[in-house]
Amino acid sequence: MNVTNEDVLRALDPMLRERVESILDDMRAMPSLVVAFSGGVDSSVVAALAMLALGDRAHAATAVSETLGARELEEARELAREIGIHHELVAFRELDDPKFVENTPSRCFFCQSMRFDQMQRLAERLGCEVVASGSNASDVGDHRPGLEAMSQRRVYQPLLRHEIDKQGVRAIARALGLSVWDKPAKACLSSRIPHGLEVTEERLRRIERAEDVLEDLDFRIFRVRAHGDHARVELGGEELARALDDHALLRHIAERVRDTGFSQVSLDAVGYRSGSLNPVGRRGAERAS
Amino acid sequence: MRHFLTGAPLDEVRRLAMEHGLDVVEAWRHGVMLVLRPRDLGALPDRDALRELADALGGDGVRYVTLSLWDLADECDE
Repeated sequence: MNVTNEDVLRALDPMLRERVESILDDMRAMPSLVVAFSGGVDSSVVAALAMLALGDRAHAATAVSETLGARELEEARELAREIGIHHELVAFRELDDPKFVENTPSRCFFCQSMRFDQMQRLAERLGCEVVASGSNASDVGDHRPGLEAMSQRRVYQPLLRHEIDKQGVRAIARALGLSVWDKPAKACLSSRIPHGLEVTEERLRRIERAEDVLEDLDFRIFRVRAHGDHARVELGGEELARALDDHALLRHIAERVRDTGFSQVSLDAVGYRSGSLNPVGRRGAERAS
Repeated sequence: MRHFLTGAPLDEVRRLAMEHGLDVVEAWRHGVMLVLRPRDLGALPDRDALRELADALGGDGVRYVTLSLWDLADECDE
């Protein structure tokens, strides 16, 4: 990434440009900032804008816990280097919280509460007053108890505050030259476990191994939903079409996912849906990422 | 825990599946999933037909319709 403010603004449509300018104005008024950084496109944009506004007074912090896969952590490290932002890791254990482990529909509230409490401790250590997140305007209206946790902690959510949706985020990322501008959204591994089934280390690692299998088979949009020992594989639209046409590929998926420890492997007939394990009756069953 | 469909419910699932180009050998409920075992993984309908089938079979406690690719129980029976 190597652009000046003017480069970013020129590439965007006027409304989006105005919103980015407002975010930069927000940030320039802050002495310093810590961005909760997952390596996804949303937090990457916030981190990149923070660098533009604050330079070395901007920090990125990635929460390292049981629900973060090893590949995702490595991608976050690479992206922080790409952006040029100072990058810290914050370790904590979600599985130490029985309320998180229980895996009710409020799971994300407990997780984000822990996460942002850790972020705020880090911010204090770094002498920063503000912690920021990459929540965006497309997140509102879905079942997102995590947003409530952030709101309670007065986390700065610039994309949400300035009404920038996912499409806008990707446009900004592309204008900034970020390599992740079209990276598919990826929720934490615990979102693959239906509510009511406990989140355990064993289940998380098995899901991680199964999803690594799909990534190695060049799928980009996918989830392995773990209904106990049954792996229900969701593939994105075009990728589902590819798999349905290829008997050998389906066999390969079955064998490789089986080898990760599941006793049954199936292919979801509808394919990937964001929030497909969310409680019935809430919005967000199908949403483009 | 699996609950295999038999009799009329199975016949209805197989009929609907065949209408959408899918030959189903057996079907079972696993919680909110309806799992269909295709006769031939090399002869599956396209994505649109599969989605229509899932819509037709959904409801009445079925939240997900899914095609069985592999089952440990099959290998144990061999």
